[in-house]
Formats: sequence, structure tokens, C-alpha cells
Amino acid sequence: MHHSLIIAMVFVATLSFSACRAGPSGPQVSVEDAWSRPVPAAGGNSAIFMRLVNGGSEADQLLGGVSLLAGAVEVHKTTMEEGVMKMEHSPGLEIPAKGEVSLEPGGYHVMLIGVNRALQAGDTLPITLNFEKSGEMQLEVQVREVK
Amino acid sequence: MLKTRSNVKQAEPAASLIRWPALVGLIALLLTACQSYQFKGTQYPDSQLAPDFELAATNGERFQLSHQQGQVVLMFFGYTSCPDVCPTTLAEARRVLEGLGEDADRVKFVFITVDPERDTPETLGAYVTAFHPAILGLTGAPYELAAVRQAYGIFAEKEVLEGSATGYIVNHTARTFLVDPQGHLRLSYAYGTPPEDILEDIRHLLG
Repeated sequence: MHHSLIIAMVFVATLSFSACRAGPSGPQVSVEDAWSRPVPAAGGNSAIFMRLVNGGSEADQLLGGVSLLAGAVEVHKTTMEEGVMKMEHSPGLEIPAKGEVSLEPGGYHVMLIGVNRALQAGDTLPITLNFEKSGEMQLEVQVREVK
Repeated sequence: MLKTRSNVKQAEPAASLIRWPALVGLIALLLTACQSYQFKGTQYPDSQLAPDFELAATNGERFQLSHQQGQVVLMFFGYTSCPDVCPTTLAEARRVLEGLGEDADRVKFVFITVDPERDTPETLGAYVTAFHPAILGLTGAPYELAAVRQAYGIFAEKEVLEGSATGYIVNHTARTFLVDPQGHLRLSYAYGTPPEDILEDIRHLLG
């Protein structure tokens, strides 16, 4: 066999092995259908709801985020105990491997704390979400009329 | 009608003429009784007058519950820094008010703050009217608000969230109360009750 052919084969083999390693391992998180509620005046709080889908083979965690339009962005969970509404600051929300998590009214939400201007239905809100493994993800959130 | 042996055979045809319509009438009566209105909300067992109170309303007036006779009053306790449960409930209130059409004049929805420290009348007013112009925010001195909560069995507790920019949150009972046009505390609704259910109950009470 020619040397160049062997080298080519080894090259292709290495390439395909490294491709195998980089591809499916690690989390693959995407954000779907992110929307938030309107806020009537600056200084108020709001909640962002979304679906977090992880197509990867490793779990990841949503830690929080930042936005130029709010003082702070945190993950919170609403809980109801015997008719009493409570809220917890969640240090991280796990998105299982090959799974998804839905942030919905009554459950988890990304809380916008102290918005610096009113948010009206139809506005878009730029926000950066921070994941433990996937790092930072920038997205535009739709402000929707409360139904 | 007395049946004696002598006239039984003669009376029977006449009796049967009465018997069947009577039976039909009785069944019809039973059916209408079964169809008497079933309230969707949780009913208060006795017809008790709703505990009266007077608070400052965000429309600049004083709101006294006992002066609302003739109106259905819906009450919810919450606060404006609440990002999830309170906006959901106020959005449902909007759907109820919109669903009532002209009858919305006969219904008052009041949002009583459990966070007077942060909910100034201006903040509260801007918040509730953003959902619907007819929703009233009610506030007052902390002791006044505490008295109303106690009268209605409402739990509200400040909780500092360590490491959170929210400062503190207020854990509170999330239940909507309905006072009928005669001033009686009639029904309550759990958080998440479909607005259509509340609408039906209101329509029945408005008559």
C-alpha cells in the first residue's frame, strides 16, 4: 500500500474519532418559546417562562442570567402549600440529558427583578441566560399580553 | 279518593287518568329540583355577612365593603412585586370583567396588598389598572391590613430571600373571595380556578 493512502486512512480515522467525541457528549441545550409578562412601570418585577430542551447526553443547569433591562435575573420557583403561595430562589434548575424542562406559571420561572423601564406586550427583551456547562446563551424574549 | 270494594272497578279508570299526569308532574318537579344551580366555587356553609372593612382605594376614594350592596365583590390578597401568582390572578380577573360585558358595572374586583411597605398607592394603582381599569387596589396602614387579613383568615408572611436581589418576598394565601350583592360572604375560589367558572357563579348571583 502507498504511504499516502495509509496516512490518509489514519487521518480520516482520527478525524472521525474526534468527531465522535465532540458531537454527542456534553449537553445540547436550546431555549424554546421564551415569553414574559408585561410590567406596567419601571422598578417592577416580571417572570420569563420557556422550554429548555437538552438533546445532549449530559445534564446541565440553568444558574441565572443578566439583562440590560433589569437589575437582576434569577431562577425562582413558585410553590403552593395548602393554598399559601410561596416562592424560592433556586440556585440552579437541572435540565436532564435527553430531556426537557418547562418553566410555566405556577412553577419555575426566570424572574426579572427591578426592570428599568415598563415592558409592554409586543416588546422584545434581550437577555443572557447562564448555564453551568453550556455557558452563556443570548436570546430575545417576547413580552406577551397576559391571558 | 276513598276506594271501597263496591266502587273500585268503576273508580279505576278515573284514578288512572289522574295517576299518570300526577306521576309525570312529580318527576318533572324532581328534575327541576335536581337542576338547581351548582356553584363552582367553595361555598360558605352559613349565610354570614362578610366582615366589614374600610381601606384606601387606588382611585383616590375610601372603599368600605358594607357600602357595596347591590354589587358582587371579588377580593384577592397579593402584592405587586409578585412575578407569577398575582399577575395570573389579575389576568383572570380581567377575563371575568371582560366576560361580564355590561354587567361589569355590577362587579367590583379589589386587590388588597400584603406589602404596604413597597406597594405605595401609586405603585399599586399603576399595577392593577394595567390589567383592567376597573380593578381597585386597596391599601392602608399595616395594622388595618392585618385586621382585614385576620377577618378573612388570610396568611401573609414576609420572607427574606438570602442571596436574592428581591430583598424579601411575601408568602400569602392565594384565594379569591366572593361577596354577594346582599353583603354575604358566599364563595371562595382556589388559585387557578378557570375564569369561566367564576363568571358563571357571578351571573347566577346577579340574577
